[in-house]
Amino acid sequence: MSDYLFMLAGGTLAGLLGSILGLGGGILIIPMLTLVFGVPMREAIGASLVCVIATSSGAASLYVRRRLCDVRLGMTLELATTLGAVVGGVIAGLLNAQTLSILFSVLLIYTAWTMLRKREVVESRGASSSGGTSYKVAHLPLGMGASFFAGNVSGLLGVGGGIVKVPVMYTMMGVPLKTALATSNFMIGVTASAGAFVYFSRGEVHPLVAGSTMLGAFLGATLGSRLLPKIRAEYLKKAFVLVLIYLSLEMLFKGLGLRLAF
Amino acid sequence: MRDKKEKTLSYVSTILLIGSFCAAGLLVLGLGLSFFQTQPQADITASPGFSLSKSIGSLLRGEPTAVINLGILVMMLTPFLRVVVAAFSFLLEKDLTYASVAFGVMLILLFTMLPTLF
Repeated sequence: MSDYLFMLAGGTLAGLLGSILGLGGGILIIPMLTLVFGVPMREAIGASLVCVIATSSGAASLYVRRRLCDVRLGMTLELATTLGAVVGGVIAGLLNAQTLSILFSVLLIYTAWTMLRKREVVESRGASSSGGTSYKVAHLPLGMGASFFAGNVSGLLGVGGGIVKVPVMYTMMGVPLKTALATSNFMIGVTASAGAFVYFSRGEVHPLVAGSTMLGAFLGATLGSRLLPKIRAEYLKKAFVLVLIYLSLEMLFKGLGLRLAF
Repeated sequence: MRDKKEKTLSYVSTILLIGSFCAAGLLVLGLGLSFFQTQPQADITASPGFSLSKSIGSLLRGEPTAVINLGILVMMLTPFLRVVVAAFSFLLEKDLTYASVAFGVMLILLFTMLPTLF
């Protein structure tokens, strides 16, 4: 039982850090469950997907109430993300745990890279990120394709997929950054839900593992959204990039059947 | 028209909030019950595929894992419910394009959740 209490605490930390750093909790929950608690990769992905729903639902409710997200655009792109998530979930059932670990390590490196780049992009595009700005959505077919891929990554690796959707909406579809972030968060719950049902029906969502981690992630994300306005996350982000690189190496070595020396 | 749109957003926001808090409540109850359970915990790799219809008996007996599974299911159904509410709200707004889009998303989710309900 003590393992599940630690999972609850780990989920709280992942939810808290995820909401402060603008990441879904999944990017931390999967390494925690597999590397620290020895949970099999597919069970960790299943647990992560339900955590992603828990962390996104509270924030999405807030974004909808504050009129920050574009519900109609989100609903349209969800057609592609849900299909992608189902396909991703089915593919994950066909791949072995080692391959999934290696793919996840690539995703962690990509996340670290986007965290480093995010500041540059925001600075170079100036302050055109206001949520209330009127805009015209461009390149919808491209957005649908990217959303299918984002859903695929979500169902395959147990993350929200915002890391793919937000840059595409912002840089290619002409959606303001705040709206893109809020709309992506709004979509994440539905996308993760489509993937989670695939894992749930296969028995890969273990009640105690997923339940304790999800409750922690929900509490952490709720707390994080309250703390967010009071925290300067800049230094935390830089430190977090190093953590992501380390976790990526750990997951890569785990996938290759090796152990990291430090 | 604007009032109807505002109502849709308000319904969607409320569903997300109520669903996630209900799920969290069930998880607290289920985890609390399992904390006092004396039986050995199930192996992480040996859990069978979940089915709501087969779990009703366990739920009525108040088995902790069944309560936790219900909490997880409620959390997973919350985004689906907000799609259902949005689909019908778009219909009431006579916005047939987005109503069809929402019904399309609803159908995909229904297709994925059927094995867990029966």
